[in-house]
Amino acid sequence: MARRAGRDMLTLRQSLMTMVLLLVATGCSSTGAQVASDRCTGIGLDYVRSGWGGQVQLAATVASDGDGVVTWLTHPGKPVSEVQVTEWQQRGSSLVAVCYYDGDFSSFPGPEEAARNYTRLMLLIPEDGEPIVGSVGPMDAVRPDEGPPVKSTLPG
Amino acid sequence: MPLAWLFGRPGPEGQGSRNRGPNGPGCPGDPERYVAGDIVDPTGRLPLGLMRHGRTDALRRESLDLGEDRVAVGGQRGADHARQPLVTGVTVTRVDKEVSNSAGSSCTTQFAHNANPVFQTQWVLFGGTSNWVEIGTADQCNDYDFMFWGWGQNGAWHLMGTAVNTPGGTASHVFEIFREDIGIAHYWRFKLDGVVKGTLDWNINGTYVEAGLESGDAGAVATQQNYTTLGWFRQSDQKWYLWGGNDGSGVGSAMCGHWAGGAEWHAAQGATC
Repeated sequence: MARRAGRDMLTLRQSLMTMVLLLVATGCSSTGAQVASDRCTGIGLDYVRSGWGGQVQLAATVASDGDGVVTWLTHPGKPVSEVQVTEWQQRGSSLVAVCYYDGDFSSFPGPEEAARNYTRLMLLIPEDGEPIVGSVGPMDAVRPDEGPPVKSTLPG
Repeated sequence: MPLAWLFGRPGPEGQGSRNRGPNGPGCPGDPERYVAGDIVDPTGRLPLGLMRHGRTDALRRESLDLGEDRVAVGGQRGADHARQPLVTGVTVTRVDKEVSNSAGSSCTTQFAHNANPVFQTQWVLFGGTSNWVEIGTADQCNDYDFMFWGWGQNGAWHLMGTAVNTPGGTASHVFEIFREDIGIAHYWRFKLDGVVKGTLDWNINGTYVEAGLESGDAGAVATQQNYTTLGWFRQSDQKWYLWGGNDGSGVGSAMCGHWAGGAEWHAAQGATC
């Protein structure tokens, strides 16, 4: 009897723990997404509109983190800059807002032969709030589904 | 913002290009004669002329917002006759000359359109036109200068790093991109005067090198920029080769560029070269 009660208590405790984790995860996901959105619509949008004009529009926001940026930087088939990888690794699970903006970004350089169809800019905005240029290019080459992934358990 | 990137490549030789004058393609003082070919020009601006491989093409790149997009670059194809990709380095020796940019805003926002950037750049291109590595210096309004290095893949440009304040001064500096193979790694080193500024691991061979002046500021004045001791590295025999006098792009009404003897390219904007 006592052993069964103990098992029940253990099961109950595990269930409660799971629920707590789920609640925390859900709550944190929402908070992380909101923080990322705030950075992209605030700091990020101010940055791109002051530099590239008021017509620039926010296309997508992803709440990622330092490790997520590393995943993107080391994606198979992509050249790897080890210095950048190390820098983002140091940010670890710290929230990084990944902001995609649509507009005319043709002021970025490129070789004469390249199409330089720079219509989408991806900015990375870490905790310090300083926007960092990730990449710029055609919309079909700078896509949220190919950038740093969503991290659903980010703290706010 | 609506964008209008327009491209035209007339087929028949001799069409669609600004004629070369005594000062090289596109230099001030030359007669302004253009054959637009099939180029569409909704803004009435002059087409951008391009001369390449001894035949003339026309390339038009226009942003309705930015205005006439201008470059003056020289290039060298480094493939052998079988078109095997062999290029694993590019070197340019030049003075990092100051550019007088138009007044703008957000002058310290790197690459910003409103900061009127002008670039002195060099590239190794890989095969087609969508992949490359690049190192250069940028001049923006209010004398904000920086150095940058990065790469392009599938038409998208990736910034690796920047350094505020460029070498400047009147001394020459060596800007170089060079691939060093260590084991299975292929490290492209981005160097200024022998100091590595960035490294990129990319197993790819180049087919073409290019260097020159690139401007998004129609009102900028860049006095003659001399790109000297132009070299490309050939992987197959592990040697540097000088290049010059082959491909050239002289463009727009305000820019000029021409080969000056051996391995030397001159370019300018709003000034003679």
